[in-house]
Order: sequence, then C-alpha cells, then structure tokens
Amino acid sequence: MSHETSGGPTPPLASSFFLGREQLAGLSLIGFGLFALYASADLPFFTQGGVGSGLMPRSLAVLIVFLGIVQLVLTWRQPAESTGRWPIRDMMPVLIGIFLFAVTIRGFDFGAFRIPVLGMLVATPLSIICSGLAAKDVRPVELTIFAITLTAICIGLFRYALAQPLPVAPWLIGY
Amino acid sequence: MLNFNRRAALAFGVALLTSTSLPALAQTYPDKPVTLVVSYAAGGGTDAIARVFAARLEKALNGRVIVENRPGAAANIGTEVVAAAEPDGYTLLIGNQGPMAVNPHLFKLKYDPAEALDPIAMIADAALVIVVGPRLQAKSMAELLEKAKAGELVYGSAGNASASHVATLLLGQTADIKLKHVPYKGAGPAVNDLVGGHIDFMVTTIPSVIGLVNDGTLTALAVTGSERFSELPDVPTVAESGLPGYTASAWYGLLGPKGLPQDVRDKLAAATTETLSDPEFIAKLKNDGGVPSNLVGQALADFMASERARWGEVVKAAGIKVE
Amino acid sequence: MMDVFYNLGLGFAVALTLKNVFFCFVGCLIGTLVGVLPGVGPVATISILLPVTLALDPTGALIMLAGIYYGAQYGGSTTAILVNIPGEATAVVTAIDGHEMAKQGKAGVALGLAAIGSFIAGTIATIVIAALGVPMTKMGLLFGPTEYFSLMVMGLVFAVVLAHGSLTKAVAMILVGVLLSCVGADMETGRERMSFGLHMLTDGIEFVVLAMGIFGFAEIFKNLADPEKRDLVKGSIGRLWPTLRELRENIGAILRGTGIGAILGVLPGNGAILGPFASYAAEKRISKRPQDFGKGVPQAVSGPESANNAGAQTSFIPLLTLGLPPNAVMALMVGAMMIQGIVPGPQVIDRNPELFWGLIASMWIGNLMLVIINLPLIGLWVKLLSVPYRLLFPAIVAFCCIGLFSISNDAAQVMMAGVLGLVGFALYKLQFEAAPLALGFVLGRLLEEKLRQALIISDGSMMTFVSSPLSAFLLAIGAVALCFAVLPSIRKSREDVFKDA
Repeated sequence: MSHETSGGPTPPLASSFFLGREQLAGLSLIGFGLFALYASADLPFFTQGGVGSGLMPRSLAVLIVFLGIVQLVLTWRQPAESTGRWPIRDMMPVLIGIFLFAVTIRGFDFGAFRIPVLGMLVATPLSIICSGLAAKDVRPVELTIFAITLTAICIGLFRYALAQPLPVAPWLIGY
Repeated sequence: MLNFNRRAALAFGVALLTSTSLPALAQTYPDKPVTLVVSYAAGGGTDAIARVFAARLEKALNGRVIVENRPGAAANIGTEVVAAAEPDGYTLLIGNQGPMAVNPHLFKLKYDPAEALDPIAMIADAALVIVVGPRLQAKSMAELLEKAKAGELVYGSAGNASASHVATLLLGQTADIKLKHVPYKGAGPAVNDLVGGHIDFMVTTIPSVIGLVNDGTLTALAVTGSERFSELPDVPTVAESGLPGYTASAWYGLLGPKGLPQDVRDKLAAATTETLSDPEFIAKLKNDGGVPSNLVGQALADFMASERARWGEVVKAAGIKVE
Repeated sequence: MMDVFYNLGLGFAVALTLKNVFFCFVGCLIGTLVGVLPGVGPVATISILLPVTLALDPTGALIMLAGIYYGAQYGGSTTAILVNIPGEATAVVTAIDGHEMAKQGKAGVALGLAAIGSFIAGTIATIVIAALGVPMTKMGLLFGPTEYFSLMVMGLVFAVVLAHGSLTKAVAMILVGVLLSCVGADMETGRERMSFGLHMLTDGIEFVVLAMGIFGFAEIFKNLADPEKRDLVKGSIGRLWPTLRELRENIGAILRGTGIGAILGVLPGNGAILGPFASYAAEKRISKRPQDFGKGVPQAVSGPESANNAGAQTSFIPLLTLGLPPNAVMALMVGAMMIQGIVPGPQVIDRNPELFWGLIASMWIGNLMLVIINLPLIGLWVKLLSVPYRLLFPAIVAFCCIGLFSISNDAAQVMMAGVLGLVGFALYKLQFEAAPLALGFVLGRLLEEKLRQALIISDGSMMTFVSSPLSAFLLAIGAVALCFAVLPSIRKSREDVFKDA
C-alpha cells in the first residue's frame, strides 16, 4: 500500500488555507472514531458479570479519536503537504465493473426492476470490459477478445476444475 | 445436453399451454441441476451431511445436485433465499433445528419458516453427547449434577443459540441447576479448552469428540438422543441417567419453497427415502454422528412445529434475546 | 531417536508408492491453484473435494487433502508478492516486502527465497512432528482463553513494528483494524453490532473481502489515479535462484522463522496466523537496517514465509497426536478421517502407523514437490506479468470478483470489496498503511473472543491475566516491547529507535 518511496515528497501547497495530508489524516481518524462511537452507542458497556458487547468497540473508538487528536497536535505546525490528485473519474469504470459483476452474476432486485440471473457468461466479460475502459491506452478490440478468452478460462477453472457452484448461464444452458 | 434441454423446455412450454398440467413436469424433473442450499459456510457439520446426502440423492434423482453455501445472519440468509425462490424443485434447503426451530424465537425474520417453506422429508437425526474433561472429574451424569449443585459449572458451546448451547440450557432447566456459558466459534476450539482443562463440560456433536472419548481423554457421560448411539454402546442416554423426558438432537430436513408441485414433492420424498435406505449412506451418516430419520411431508411439519414450541420455551426460560 | 528414523522410514515406504506420490502431486497442484486464485481458499476446496476422496484409500485421501492445505499456503504467497493481494491472513506480511521486491524487479528472488524457505521449514517441521509431536501438543493445551488473550495483546504490540512510517498512524491503523473486527453479531449474545441492519455485515466483515478491497482493488485505483507514479512489477522478474551470498544472508531468517512458526502452529485456535508476523517482528528487531523493512528486504520475505509453512505443518500435530483440530482445515481433516472410518486421536499412531507416518513423510515429499511444481510455474507467472497493465488489471478485477462471490455466494460481498477499495485508496493518499490494519483485524477477533471467554470463566476478574504465570509472562514481554517502541519515539524518530534497540 502506501509507501513513501513510491510517492516521493510532494511539494507543500501554495496556500495554507488547505489542510495538508497529515492534518487530514488526523481529522479522518477523529471522524472515523466519532462515527464508530455513534454506531456503537446502543451497545452495553458491561453486562452483569462480564464484558458487554460495547466495551471493545467503544473503547477502541475513543482511543482512535485520541490518536487523531495526537496526530493533529503533532502535525499542526508542519507545512501542509498536498495529497495529490483524487481522480475519482478515472477510477469509476473499475468500480462500475465490480458493481456490474455483482448485480449480474446471480441477478439483483432493485425494487423497481429486476436483473435476471445472467451468470458468469455475462458477468465476467462485462466486468472485464467495463473496468478495462479505465486504462488510458485502452484498445477496444483487444480488450473484447481478451475478455472472451478469459471468460472461457474462468468458467472452466472455477465451475469445472474447482466445482464452485457459480451460475454459468442459466438462461442458455439451465445452470 | 443442449438438445435435451431444448426438448425439455419445449415439453414444459407445451404442458403449460395445453394445461395438461404437471405430470409432464414430474417426468422430466430434474432436467437441470438441483441446487441444495446450505445456510452455513462450507466445512461445518450441516455442510458435511448435505454433501453426503447430495452425492447419493443424485443417483436417486438421476440428475445433478449442487450444494450451495449461503451462510450468514445465523443461518437466516439461506432460509430466506429458498423461501423467496421459485417453487419449481430446483432450489431446495437443508434445514436444521437452528433456523427452523430456534431462530424464530430470537430474530425478527423476513419469512416464517413454518409458512414459507414446504417440508419434504427428514434426512437425519444426530444426537449430542455430554462430555467432561480433566477439570471436572465426573464419572456419571449423577456426579455431574451433584457437582453442579455444589458450585456453578462452566460449560462451552459451539456458539450462541447453537444446538450445543440450547441442549445445555435444556439440561440446566430440566435438572434445575445453574450453569455458566462460554460461547466458542464452533465445536473445535471449545473441545480444545475442555481437553486443556479450562472449562468443565460441554454438550457437543458425537464426531467432534468420539476419538477423545475412545482413548479416555474425555469422559462421555450421556447421549442426548432417545436411544443410545451404536458407536458408544456403554454411554447411557440422559433420560436413563435420571432426567426422564430429556432429549435434544440436531436434525436435518429437506425443504423447498412453499408451493412445490405435488409430484415434484413426491419424487423428492421417494428419492430421499431411497437414499436413506442405502447402507453405504447410513454408514457415512454414522461418521457424522447421525442416524437416518425418515419423516415425510406432514409428519416432518408436525415434528418441526413441536420442536419449535419446545425450544421456544427453553429459550424464553433462559432469557436469551437478540435485539 | 532411532525410533523416529525407523518410523520415518516406514512413512517414506508408504508415501513413496507411485499412487501416493501421485495423490500428493494432485493435492499440491490443486492447493497451489486455489492459493494463487484470490478468494477460493483451502477450507472451501477441501470440503467440496471431501466426497471425492471417498473413493480413495484413507492414506491417499489424507495425503491429497494435506497437499491442498500446504499447497494453498504456498500459492497464496505468489499472489501476495506479484499483485499484492494476500488471499490468506498469513500472506499479509509476505505482501509487504515481497511486493516491494517485485516492484524492484526482484520478484524471482522473492519467489525463490519463499520457495527455499518454505522447503527448509517444511523439512524441519516434518522432523519436529515426528520427534516432538506429543510434548508440543501438551504445551499447546496450556493455552486457555486467558493465556491466548495475553498472546494476542503481545502480538498487537509487536504489530507496531510492521509499519515504517509514523508511529501514531501505525497504532491508529491497528486499532481501526481491531474495531472493524468487532462489526457483526456479538458471539456471546448474538446482538448485532455496528451492522446498520445490513445483511452483509451481520456476520462481520470477511477477511478476504477486506484484503481484496484495501490491497487488491486499492492497488488498481492507485495505479489508475497516478499513472505517472505507477511502478508496477516489471515484466522481468529477474533471476529465480538467490545467490550463495543471499542464501547465507537469509538462512538465519529462515531458521528463526521456522522455529517461531513451528511453535505457534501447535497452539489451538489457529495460532499459526501469528507466525509470519512474529517472524517479521523478530527480523526487524535483529536487523542492522530496520529502517529498510517495508522497502523490499529479502529477510522480511524468507522469514515469514518459513514461519507460515512451518506453522501450517505443525498445526497437524494436535490433530494427529490428540485428535484436536486447531483450525478449520484440520477440522475438515477430522471429517475426512471419519469418513474413512478412522477416528482421530492418540490411538491413530498405534492402530494406523502406516497412515500416520505415511502422512508425515508425504509432507516432506509434498514440500519438495511444491518446489518442483512452482519453479517452472514461476516462469508462467513471468509471462502473465508481461501482459500489459491495461489488460492485467481487468483480469485481476474479474478474478477478484469471482473469488469474492464464491466465498458466500453473495453479491453484496463483491460490492463491499469495491467500496473498501476506495477506502484503501484514501488510506494510501493519507499515507496510512494497510498491513497493520489487516493484522489488527485478524488478531482483533481472537482478542475479544478470548477476553470475554476468560472473563466469563474468571467471574469477571481481571486478575486472571496476571495470576496465570504464562499469561503474566506474555503480558510482561508485551509491556517491555511497548516501552521500547513508544518511549524513545517521543524524543526521536522511530528509525533511530530500532537502531538503538
């Protein structure tokens, strides 16, 4: 994951109006801790004669908030380093690809409409092609051929070699 | 394969169109793999029994039977999946006392298993065994009860509201003793702590401890079924040991979504009966601690209703609640 | 001692029959496959294949299933090193420096060292099982909930050393991991915690979902977001065989890892997961250049990998000598033995010596086979990595999706991993590390479980943790380690701490 070596030092932001990476890190810890406190607010701390289900989550949440404050205090005077780009749009195709796989593999009920069980035969190439579009140097024909080949390999591997009960294409071959 | 399926689909279509109705279906059923849903992750006791059963059922049905694990939410997810499935006989459920008889008293369920599911046939009944380890030197049930009256004993279970837990609750209520519950994740770690002398006793499935009982590491005091278990002939039942009327066992039934066509049900019930009479299947079942128990249709429904009422009382008396 | 060699001789006579060598090969091959594929783990594979083994004789069946288990442990490190997705909790540590090495074009050496380390660990563990099986199991039984809790506390303290950035952030990540492990139904009361009524959270977050999200998907997001900074695993993985010098530098790590893993593997309740990172912590402490850890240090791969394999192997000890399965895979092995009419327990060694010693001997053969199977396979991985990234990442997405779905046949798990991928990306941007989080998550579960069990048994008295000598000892080690880690860092940077220590 995050390795300083890979990123290298990023230049400080020109304006000190923005929060730097380290300060943001502290704030996110505080935010996460407070959220966890809220989420575990209904859990009892102690029960008679033992630890309640809330003891661990709530003590941890408090500790995390505390560490967030420590982080803020320690880094408050440091120059604000930028976190770099957050190009969510470049990542979207991958997210959508994952999502499409999830809703097509065994169908999904959105309430208003229903996706039928499309199975691996549809879900796999869909996720490959969609997420592949995220690449800047995407070549559509190559990607399509690749998706088809890989789908065949996946079906053979997971369904037949490893006997996973994954639907292949119920609309075509019944399972 | 493809041809055959097309033909089957055609036959099905024709059957629907001409309303010659369902015999046509039964003749072709199953013409695609049947999915047998197990509400637990692969690797557990219910999964093991389901796989042994599915392998033999394939022969009886002359078609593929695929075990599919849909674990989650205390086994309620698997139940929901089958309850919501098309009642065509291609999605079936292995139900046990947990989601069928205990959970309705603990959770707000989307579906009432008694109403949303069609009981097809009972498959197996697996009695549990009461074992003590080095921490509690008891040789008999009487001794265990005596020690439990002298001071609170600590027992392990395979998890909150598991068969092992509720069977011990019932034991405590029947014998009027107070016990301290330590839940574990599965029987394995609990047996470990029993052997290590960290807890006093536990009520658990026979396969999880039979080796340790045979070599004397653990002592089996009683089995919880109505009869003795053939592999432990010297171990009395709880009822024989001074608590008449006490029985508790894990049971496994085959169920489908409500509204299965009668002939599909009949075919499945007949296939189950055939499976249960196979000596090879019986032998495999015995390894999982079970004996075949064949209750078909309404008989299974009645049995499930009585189990549900019985465990409801136990759970209520113990004050177990899940918010 | 002579007995041990006589018995091993008997074992090899059984294991070296053509049929059993074949089963061992098939098991190792399937195991490597499910290990490499993210998601499909050995537990699911073994339970699916269990009915198939009915047709085999007991020894052959067990040899094959055992092969799947350690093959999967081994295959998991390949994915961890090459694409930074630890499919098993035990591979989290391997991914840290292993993937860094791969990025530097040293994937071959990383994989080679992992293979050699695993083989040496496997060889030693085989002898350990044969010679010390029974006494080691007795030691494992001393660990009740109380002692186990203290072991986990010690483990969490050691987890701090995994990080190589800010101490505050590392500790925070460990705590976040522990907190995430609390999500889901409370094991004691069944009460749902922090699940917001979502079905996919009621049984807690699945480790594989978390790992594929914050490691697998996040890595892809990271590379897409900062293409200019993308330093992927290069198409060339470099040479496979470490040089004699590298071997000399790593043999200490391998032997230490083997010792640590072998001891922890015997503990009940899956103590083996502590092995790899206890080894990592030890190596970092011993090393003259601890500040390099996390940037591709070979010892940080060879040590933990040896610990992993040794632990995988010695976890057979409680099963074979006492019939006590220490983890889910071993519980399945009980099932496999029962199906074959063999009741696991101390009597197996007397009644079925050929099965007992055959299985043990087959472990060594299996380890040899893993090296043989995998060295040419590494060549295959090279080809895979020479696939351009524009095609590689969609393939990783597809494999992850299928693997995620097959865990519980639930689409929600796939989506959750996608969302966790975004979380992982945010962590990267804020320079938080994911490895301590993953370890906190894994250890956190056991931590709370054991804490509550211990307190039920002790009637709520915290004294139980110090009145048990073993537990007090473990806590003391943890406290000392904590002092070393925290106290000087108030004055100096952590890099210096480890130089001084």
